[in-house]
Amino acid sequence: MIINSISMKNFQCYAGEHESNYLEFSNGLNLIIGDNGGGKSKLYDAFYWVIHNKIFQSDQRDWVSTKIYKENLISDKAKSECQIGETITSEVTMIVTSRDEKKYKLERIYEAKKIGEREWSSKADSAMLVSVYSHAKWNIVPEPKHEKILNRVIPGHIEPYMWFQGEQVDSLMDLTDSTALEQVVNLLSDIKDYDDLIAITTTGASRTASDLIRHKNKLSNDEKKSNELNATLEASLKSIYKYEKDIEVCDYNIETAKVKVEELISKVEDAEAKADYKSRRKALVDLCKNLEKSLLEKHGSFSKNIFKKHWILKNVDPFFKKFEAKYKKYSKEHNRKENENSRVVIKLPLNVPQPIHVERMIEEESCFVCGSAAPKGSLAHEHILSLIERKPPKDIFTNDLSSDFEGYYNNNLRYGISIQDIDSSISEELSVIQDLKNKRVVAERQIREIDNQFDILLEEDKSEDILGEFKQQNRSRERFEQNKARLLEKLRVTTQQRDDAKTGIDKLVTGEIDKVTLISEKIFSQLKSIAKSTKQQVFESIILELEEKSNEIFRDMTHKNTSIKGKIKFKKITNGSYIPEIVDGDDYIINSPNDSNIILVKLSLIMAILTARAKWSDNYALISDAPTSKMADNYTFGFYKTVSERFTQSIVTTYDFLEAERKAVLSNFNMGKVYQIESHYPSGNSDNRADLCVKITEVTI
Amino acid sequence: MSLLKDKFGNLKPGYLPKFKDFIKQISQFGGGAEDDKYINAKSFSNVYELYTYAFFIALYKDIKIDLSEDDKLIGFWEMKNWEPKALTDSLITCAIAESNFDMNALEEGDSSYMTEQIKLVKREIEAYANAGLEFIKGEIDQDPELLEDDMYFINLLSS
Repeated sequence: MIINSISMKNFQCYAGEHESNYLEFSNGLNLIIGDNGGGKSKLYDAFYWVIHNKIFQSDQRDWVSTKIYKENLISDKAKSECQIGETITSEVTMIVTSRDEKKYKLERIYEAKKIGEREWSSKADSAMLVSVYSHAKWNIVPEPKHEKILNRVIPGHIEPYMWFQGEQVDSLMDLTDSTALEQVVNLLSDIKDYDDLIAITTTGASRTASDLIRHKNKLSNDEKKSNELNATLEASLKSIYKYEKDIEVCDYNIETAKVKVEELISKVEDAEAKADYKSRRKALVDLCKNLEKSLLEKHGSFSKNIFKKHWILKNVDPFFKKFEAKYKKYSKEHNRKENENSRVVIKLPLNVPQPIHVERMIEEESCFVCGSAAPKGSLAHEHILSLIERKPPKDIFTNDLSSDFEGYYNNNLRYGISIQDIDSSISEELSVIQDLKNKRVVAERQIREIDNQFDILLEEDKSEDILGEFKQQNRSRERFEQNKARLLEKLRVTTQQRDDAKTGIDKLVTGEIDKVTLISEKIFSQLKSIAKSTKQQVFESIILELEEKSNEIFRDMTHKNTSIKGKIKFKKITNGSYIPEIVDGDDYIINSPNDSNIILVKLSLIMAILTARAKWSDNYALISDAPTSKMADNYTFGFYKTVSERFTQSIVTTYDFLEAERKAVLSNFNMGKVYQIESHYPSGNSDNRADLCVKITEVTI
Repeated sequence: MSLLKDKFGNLKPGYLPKFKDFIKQISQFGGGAEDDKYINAKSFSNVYELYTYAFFIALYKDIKIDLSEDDKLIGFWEMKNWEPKALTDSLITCAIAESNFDMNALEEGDSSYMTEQIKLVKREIEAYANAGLEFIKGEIDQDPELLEDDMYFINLLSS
């Protein structure tokens, strides 16, 4: 809803009737300019009180209910002027318009009767009146409908981002909390609906899996064994679930430690040395990773070479020779049988030499084996001719296996050449691996040296005593990484046990598995994965959108400032969620509380949330009390411009623009109404709170 | 495919049941992608790779296990599927060389004789391969760290 006006009667410092404490608002940026103590925060309180029946108690820094605050919310001036026996009220009236152009009047009233000079008989609580404007008059809305209407003024889930005090901004968004963005995404979208889908498919997957197991048990040929395997399966599934959860915790702790280490690094004053440390270390770590990868590949191919480069045949020579001897004996006997009834005895096997070579011998009238001439008509020529005329022997052997054995023999011959090079091939590969290992040792040593230098840098840094904590966080990270490695190994073993149990159960099955049961299990299992991955995809697309929007707003708000402002980066952590980080151009985290721009970055994030998908910025008024109070002076221009352009309506109290000459800048913005408020003491005595009221003046820009 | 190669190709040499867990421990049981071998910390990407390796190790070390008909061996995959094929052929020649396989008699014999001769080669392969498995398992049982040593299987070829 858009807020048309607010008026107060004897509310806190706003003494007097509604008419004298009336502020009308329109679309655009509505500004209420006032000095400290001028009534800005009490105006913010008035909005809050109407909706929530609570008042901000400054000394406790907390909201307290009217039931506790009682007559303290009534103006001191009004209380002072009230006579004993008289009744006095404190009231706030807000008029709002809904999207469907319905006008509502929200009135909260608190009543107290003066029974002594400083004694009051107060009502236990305030009264609320809600009216809707129709047929040219205000009509009372029954109480049961109040809550719904109040929630339409500002829905509870977006209120923390839409209505806030300047001093709260820092706590609105905890950049180290990994659940913060998840909560925001839940707000921004219907992503939680996917949880229902995941729950349904998980239950379905679990049920169909149980059905399938029961069905397989029925078909088992060894019930006892099946039961044992099912028990193993169940136990391994439980363990896998536990290990996966433990790994998630480890991942979270590793990420937390990493973020803290980054934060500590960002605290070091010597920015140049810090940047140098980080870039050198990153280059070396990358080098180590590449070397590790190359080594892994080399090791992989090294053992693969046992087969690929035939290293396995390293000592095979005597056995090949043994086969050769056996083949020679066989070949001799085979040949003898072939030639038994032949006119010409040919001791070479069929097709040896190969026909093309024999044809050339005939053409060139020469024997290629002995080099002698074999002119046409000679005995030698005749002999060569008989080689080509040979036909496979018939009916000599039950099985002629000569070509099989010859094939095996030739295969070994081909290997014979490469076997000779096996030793040098192994040596070459070994030297490559050793070279990579040496390089890795050097890089690791250099990383240690750089770490030592960085320790010295931290020790020398006088701004903070951070060396101890830095080391502790690094140790924590290492410890969690070791724990994670152990858990991963356990998970691997248990997953193997689970798979073995499944295979075992399947093997015991006799007969055909019911297709419906089988397909149901498969379908639900796939649906479960699809539901989970879809949720993650939707989550990531919203995160990306939010990151882009935040940076867009941040750039808008800071475009007049030329110093390093940083940018917002949503870093994905290993458990799949994201944490917002503020990084510099080199992606180094800058979230030290000393950074003056952090408030602006958080405001960018908040505005991105409000202007993203749900477009809350279109439908609800942003109300903020002194949002620029912690902001560097040169950022305020960007802030007001952005707010005025991106929100249909905003109501902002501020002490900026107090000076008349500064108000000129407001003409650059999409402005609504502008008021100047100031404390006013009609009697002239500014020490007398019983004389305090607020003077409201509309300012024309 | 020729007759003899066909017969050898259909052989399914086996291993003793006592090696089943060990084989699973160091080889990618059931095959799978080559890369998985390293992810799962397996030294061999297939059972037949380990089996071939074990055969040659035992051959070089001249160790054999006497297997009887009572030994119920677990067969795993027909030899025609083993890779590289040329290496499998060489393995067969070594088994032929070491066995009483009679090449000439085979050309004269009937199908039952051929079956008997092929079985001789299969037994020879199994005798060496199972001896190799026993040897490797014995070493790794004594010193499980050997599996972490990338050089172990290379060194074993030279020792």
